[in-house]
Amino acid sequence: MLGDLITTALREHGDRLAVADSRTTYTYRELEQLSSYTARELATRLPADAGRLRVGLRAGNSAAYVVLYLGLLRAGCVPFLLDKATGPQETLDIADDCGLDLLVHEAGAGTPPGTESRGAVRGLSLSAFTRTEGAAERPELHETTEVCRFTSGSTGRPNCIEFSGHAVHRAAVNWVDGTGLTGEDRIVCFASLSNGLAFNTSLLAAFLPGAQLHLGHGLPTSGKVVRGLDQSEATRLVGFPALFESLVRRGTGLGGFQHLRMAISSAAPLSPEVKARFTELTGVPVQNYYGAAEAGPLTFATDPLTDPGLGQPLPGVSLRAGTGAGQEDVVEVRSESMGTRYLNVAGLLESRTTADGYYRTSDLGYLDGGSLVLTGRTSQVINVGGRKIDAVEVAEALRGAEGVEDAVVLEVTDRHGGAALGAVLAGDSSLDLAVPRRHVAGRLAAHKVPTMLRVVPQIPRGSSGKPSMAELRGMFEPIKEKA
Amino acid sequence: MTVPQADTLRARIVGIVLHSAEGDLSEADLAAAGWSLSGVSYSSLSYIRMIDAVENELGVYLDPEEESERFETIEGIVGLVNEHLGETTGA
Repeated sequence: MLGDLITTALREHGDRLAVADSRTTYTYRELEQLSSYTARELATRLPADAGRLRVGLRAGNSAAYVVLYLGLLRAGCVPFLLDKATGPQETLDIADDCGLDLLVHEAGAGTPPGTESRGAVRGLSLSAFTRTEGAAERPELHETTEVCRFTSGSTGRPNCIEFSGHAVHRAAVNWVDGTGLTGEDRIVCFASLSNGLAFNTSLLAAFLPGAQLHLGHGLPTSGKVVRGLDQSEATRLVGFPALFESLVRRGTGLGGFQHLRMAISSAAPLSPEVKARFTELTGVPVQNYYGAAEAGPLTFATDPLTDPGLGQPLPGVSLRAGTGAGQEDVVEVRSESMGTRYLNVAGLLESRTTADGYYRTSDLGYLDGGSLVLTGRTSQVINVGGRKIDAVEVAEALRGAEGVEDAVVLEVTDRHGGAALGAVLAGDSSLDLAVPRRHVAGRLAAHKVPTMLRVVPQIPRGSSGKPSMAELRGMFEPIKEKA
Repeated sequence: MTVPQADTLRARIVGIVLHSAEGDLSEADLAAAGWSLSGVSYSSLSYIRMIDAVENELGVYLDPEEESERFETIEGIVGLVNEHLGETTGA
């Protein structure tokens, strides 16, 4: 279904520019042809009776990524969008957990052990997984599933969300309609295409009305962002808070903003100071995107400068929350872009969904004139720079390091006033902190390696046996500095 | 722009790297890791702050996707900045 819908959209816009990275530019016609060739090329590398092959796509933003994504859909494969930072062992664990057949990845970049090369497609490597001995039985895909994405769980492994083609398509259609995206728009996207922010605002949404999608790759430093905006004459900028913080640090002399009319930040709270300063420097208000990995994009503020919250529900979205300040409640959402279930955790998504189809998020908030105002969270999700991190997964990895007897992982405030990943380790005071850091770096993605470590003889615990979080947080005394 | 002396530039880069770190990184930690930033788990947020500071203070443009391996050590960054400063000044 998605393959057909995308093909129709691509054919509609002919020779308009569709997608560009720093080296490559494709028109809609070229993108349609290349994704079709890629689908055929993939078919020659796959067993004839393969059915819906599960293909991990783990790469940075590029025009080739988009071609591969579309090619996989057109070949009838199910793309599993993995964070580029996912380490080799993590990738292997996910492959076992979700029954992946193949991996598309950048050449030489963290090839998982035990995989077999199947050559390269559009400059990206193709590797085949073999089932690890003793791995759990391969879970069945839901019959409607066309795309899978991941969200950090709280049980030591990422949860894999299954999406129907209809849900993915409606997420894009509703974003286009709700935000007024047109064929005249030029989107510069620095968020990773595997992340919900880019997936929902850019990857398919850009192609429906015939907009241009310019992909930023790597670290969104201010110098690079300004160049990207200048070259593309962008009308929309999509990025994580770190991008906006970087631009604000650059201060005066920000060029490239002449055509920009919308800046979209998400995945972690953007400080009000940075938001205000960005608008002061550029004249462009920052739109705080609100979405849930399990439910797609949810709100949009027509005027972010006057909206009391994160905006009104997008088309096809219903929200339930508290009725006003001081009466906040759990935010519940129902949308046309809901995930079907978690492939690798049977029953969990269903247990978080009400009888009338609302997904219970981890956010607390209320509605002010229909606009959603967030006030807190119901769970201690760690969010560092827009990446959610499962404390259990990192603590388990730390406990495997030599000299570490126990570990608790928590979000702490660094000396710049931002969120950072901290860990308190139980061990001897002579413990070389490089050892646990190296141990985690060898197993998990780089952003899951704690940057602030403390060593204690024993983890302080309360009478219930749970770690005393207040005491643990007290071990990280931030000396705040301005961004 | 005047190109700083090599040892001055190195000290400046080390200072920027330490100041930009989100953790409590010290010069001794860096030295113990052989002046390798990956050796001290330098985070991507720290990298962004560090590159911004180098660009703002020294007036060069650095793209960590080009020659990415040179961003992994202090010596690599110093060498890269030196080359860019040479280009900027024609030195």
